[in-house]
Amino acid sequence: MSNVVLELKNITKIFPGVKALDNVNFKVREGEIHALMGENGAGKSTLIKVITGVHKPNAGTIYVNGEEVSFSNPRDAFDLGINVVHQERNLFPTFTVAENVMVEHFTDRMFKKVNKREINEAAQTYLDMVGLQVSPQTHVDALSAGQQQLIEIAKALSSNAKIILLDEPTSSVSVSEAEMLLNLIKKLRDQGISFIFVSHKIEEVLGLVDTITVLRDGKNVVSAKTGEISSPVSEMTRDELITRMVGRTNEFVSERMRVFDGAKVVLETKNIRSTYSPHPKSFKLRQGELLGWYGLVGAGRTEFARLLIGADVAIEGEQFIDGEKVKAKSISQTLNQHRICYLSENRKEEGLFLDHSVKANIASSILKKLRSFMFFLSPKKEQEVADGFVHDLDIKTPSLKQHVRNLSGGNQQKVCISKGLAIQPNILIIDEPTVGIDIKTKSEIHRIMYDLTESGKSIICITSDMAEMVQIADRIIVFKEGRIMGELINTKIYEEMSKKIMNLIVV
Amino acid sequence: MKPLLKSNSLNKKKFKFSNSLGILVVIILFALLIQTRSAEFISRDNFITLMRNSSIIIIVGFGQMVVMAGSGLNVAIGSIGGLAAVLVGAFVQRVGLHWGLAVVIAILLGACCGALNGILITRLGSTGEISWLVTLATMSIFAGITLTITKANPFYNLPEGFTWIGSYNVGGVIPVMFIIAVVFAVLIWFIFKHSSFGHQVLAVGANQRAATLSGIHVTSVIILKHIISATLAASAGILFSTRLGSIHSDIGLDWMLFSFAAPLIGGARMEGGRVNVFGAFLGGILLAMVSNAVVHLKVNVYIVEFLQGVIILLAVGLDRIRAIREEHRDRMERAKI
Amino acid sequence: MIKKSLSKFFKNDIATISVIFAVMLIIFVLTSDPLRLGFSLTSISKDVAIYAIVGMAQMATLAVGQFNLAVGAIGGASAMVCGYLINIPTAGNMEVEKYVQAEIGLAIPWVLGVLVGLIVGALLGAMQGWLITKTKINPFIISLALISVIHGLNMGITENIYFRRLPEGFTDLNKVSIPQAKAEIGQASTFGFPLVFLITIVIMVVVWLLYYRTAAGRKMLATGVSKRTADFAGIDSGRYVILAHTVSGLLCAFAGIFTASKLSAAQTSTGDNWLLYSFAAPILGGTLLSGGKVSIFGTMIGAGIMTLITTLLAVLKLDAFTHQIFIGGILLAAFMLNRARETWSRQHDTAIVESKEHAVLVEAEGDRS
Repeated sequence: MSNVVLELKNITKIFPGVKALDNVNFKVREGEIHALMGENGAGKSTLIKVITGVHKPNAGTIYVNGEEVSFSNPRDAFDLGINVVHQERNLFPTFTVAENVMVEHFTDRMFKKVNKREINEAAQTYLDMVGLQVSPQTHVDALSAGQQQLIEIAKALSSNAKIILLDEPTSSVSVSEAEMLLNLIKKLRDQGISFIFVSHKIEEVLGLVDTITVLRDGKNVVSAKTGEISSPVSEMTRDELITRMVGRTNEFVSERMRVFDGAKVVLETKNIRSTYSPHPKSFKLRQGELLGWYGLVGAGRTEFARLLIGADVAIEGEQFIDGEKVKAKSISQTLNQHRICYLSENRKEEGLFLDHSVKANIASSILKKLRSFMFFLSPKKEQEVADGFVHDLDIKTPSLKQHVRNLSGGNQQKVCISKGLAIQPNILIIDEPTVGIDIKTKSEIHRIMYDLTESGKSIICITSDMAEMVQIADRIIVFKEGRIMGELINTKIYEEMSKKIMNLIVV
Repeated sequence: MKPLLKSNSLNKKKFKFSNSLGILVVIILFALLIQTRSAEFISRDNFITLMRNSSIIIIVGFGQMVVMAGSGLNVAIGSIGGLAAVLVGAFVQRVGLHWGLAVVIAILLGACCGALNGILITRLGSTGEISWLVTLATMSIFAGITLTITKANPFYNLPEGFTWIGSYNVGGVIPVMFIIAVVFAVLIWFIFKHSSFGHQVLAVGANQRAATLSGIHVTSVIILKHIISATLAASAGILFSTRLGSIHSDIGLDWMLFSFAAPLIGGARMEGGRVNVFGAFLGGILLAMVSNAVVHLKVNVYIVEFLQGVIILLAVGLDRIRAIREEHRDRMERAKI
Repeated sequence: MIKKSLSKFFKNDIATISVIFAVMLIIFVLTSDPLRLGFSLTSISKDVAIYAIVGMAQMATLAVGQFNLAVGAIGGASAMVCGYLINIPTAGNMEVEKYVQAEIGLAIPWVLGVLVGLIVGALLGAMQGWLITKTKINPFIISLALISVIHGLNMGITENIYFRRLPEGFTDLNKVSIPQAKAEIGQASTFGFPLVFLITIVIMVVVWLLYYRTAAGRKMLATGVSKRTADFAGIDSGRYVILAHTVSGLLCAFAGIFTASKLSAAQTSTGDNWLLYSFAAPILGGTLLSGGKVSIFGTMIGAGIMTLITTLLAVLKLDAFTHQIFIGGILLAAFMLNRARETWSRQHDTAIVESKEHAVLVEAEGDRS
């Protein structure tokens, strides 16, 4: 058994009002690829931040190579050999590869001569280590996402990293680049470097890592068999992993299986594709249907949705709404003319005007309808509409004037939904409706979605939450890497459906 | 992995080179064009005048470029220059100091103005908008101090040694100021190409978040770059008055606009992360030529300001076109499965 | 209890600066020569009017999260166009210095001239907005370059002459006040609201209506808070950015024309010192630099404070040269106050948080950050 390079014992982290981590234990060995898994909100990010020195735990101890340590800032963790490669790039786009890889060369002191030849040569060593065949003098902004990721790993290696933490490393790279990356990780592992691998992609994890630790609700999920906090991958099956991550917290049980065979087709595409959604896709959406689009993070569903609403332009293929061929040119057009509303997964930056009031947010999509005298808006009508939604959706806010920024996640989502419903759309595309939302509000939102479909609207629900998918969808389309892998009628039986969905993804 | 990107890296090098080359071509063509209308344009005397005029523009441009590199601005550059000049006048004529000492003290005080700017900006959040607002305010403050010192009376009768700098031509051909400008250019070039400080400034401009994560002390970098900027501004203000022969409170009043022109023409990015020292140098020369040409052609002298703005727009416009072409090419590549 | 209501009071930007303004006004009234008080106040209100409009011009672009650096240039250009159109040329006697007083002019009815001036301002603003939106070049650079372009054109075409023979109706905007102010030697002067001030109030009301009661205004504010959210809500942010700049240009024109009326001369130097005031007034008044929130009344109070500073400095017998120092200092102070207020309110605002959920929210934020 190789030595333990990093150990976290009984780590607790409390934020105002809540425990993000509750007595969490985590152990990484030398020369190990260790996966940290859990749903959104399970505590993964907080744990990562504790490991990398961004947050100080309220309780518990951290040991690096057996010695107790305390990080007062990220630099401390970095100096002990703990490196992070985040999801978004932390490179200097206008600098060369060498300048990025060897960044240490000019960040330790202010007044030092930078020897270009030296850093180019040094960088070449690390570029070779990661197998990246570009000249060290290339400017980073000319490289692809995958190549930039390799640069970040080369950078970590150049500072003698012993533990490299990778956060969703293959989410924005091409398939071939992902393969190269995974092979590189294995190679480096064999040379004694430890990796902490955080990913949503279950198959990838099962195929790559040595050990898995699962978090749920801020706590370790121990193995049912051994009671250990982590399990070697050999002892882990797909189902077991998913069960550990997800648990079974179904509250909203859908009424019955609904059948839509004869219903009108409200939205259809035939081999449509765009620059960002390059694989041709065809599907149908029927009236009153709650269609689920399932896929792992990065499956390309958001890009496809953007194509449907006109945010990106189709370069090939056709789109039909209510049977008529249309060309979606802009969001404004699809919103106002065709009544398709898209609610973004990035609620804070794309769904809400955080520094505006609840009232203003809801009104923002229907300003035209609120006119009274000439072209002036009627504050009374605005109040009425907002009141209506606050009541119907049970939005908890002390007043309509409250800035949306101050609402809880669930209520923010309800405001988003109100904005979407205000224009009375026929088709609603909701991207990740309940991510970051508490259980109770989750089921409220599911109920809202269900009721909408009962009243004749059609919904496409994009989610990476398998349990949610099976709970509410009538039909499920499975996506993988930008392609539609298949369609399933939802029997609402979890074991059955999760197996079928996984089979489509693993193909 | 196919080494397909060697060409791209050369592209970037080519850009810097071609930018400077482009400006050089424009300069030459422009000179020839004006020569056809006014025979004295290309002449020894005019060259000397041009070199003298461009020195100030170049140094002021460098002052702004240093701050721009780290994604910020220094709108107070003109008033720092004016203040420094006026301080020299005051120290010499009211305190009785030797002009050399006065110059040194004035530049040091100018540097302090820069430190003040840097400290305020970093205290208030270190973004581009904040540096705009802070330096807008300090511009007014420094200008007010300048006015209070001079009480609107210029300083005349400056010491001979002082005015000598402004009028002497080395070897009869090259003005002292121009040499100083060249020296500054070499220094700045060295700072950005070969010093860790220069790299840190560019890093902060390229990606402030990544810079912090890499352990760069962003606060120190910002303060230091403002100090350098102010020092350059002070030097420019003092140099300008060596040439005028008098020091009045108007010095630097219109510098804010053209301080950005030379660096932008040279290819520096407003958002930071990239500078082009040689390009900015040539840009300064081009701008000086334009003002000079206007005098020779005897056209409305006010046209210079108009042309300044147009040239900036053209320069960044061309830069933008090039960026669009690259984006387009990337997008086409991505669409192929 | 008192502490709570006091803190609530200071959180309200407008309340704080209104108090400051009131205090300054009282100091001014108490320290002025009572005979000249009425006249001084009338004079001050003319300046407040102009700076309030200049402040609103900048506020209009701040609303969408941008800056209009060319406020002075646009104001000056509009003033000159209007001045040229309404200037009354003298017949004969062309020996008067051409470079100081312009003897040329079209002498059209001043209302028409003002209208054309306003249109020029609006068009210049629209051009700025269009360039920013269509070329996607850094807006700061475009705005900066346009200062040179517009001011340079203005200077170049007019060759820096003044138009000094402006019709009476035009200058009456500043001379006539309600009630009519009187200033005669030996008698106490009376105060009256100059027409320009009253017109400014009307403009303020219209601007308020624009932002709070029209779809266009709301859309501009939405674009300012979050352009991405606005895009997803089907708001054509490009169009509203152009609109914001157009409104800004129009307001600049008003300020320029009012200045010409006040000075009884249209000069190219109009607007040269507006830049700082254009930011100081809105920022004092609570408008955010980042966009999405405007305060019309606050901007007017801010303009009032800026104007009173200069007057008070004169009353306190401080050098005219120190004005600049104080003006710059006020801008800094206002900005620092704003930042302090922002961070303070973020810490103390009552958030509606259900504890379990907050953890999930924090996690989700973490996942995305």
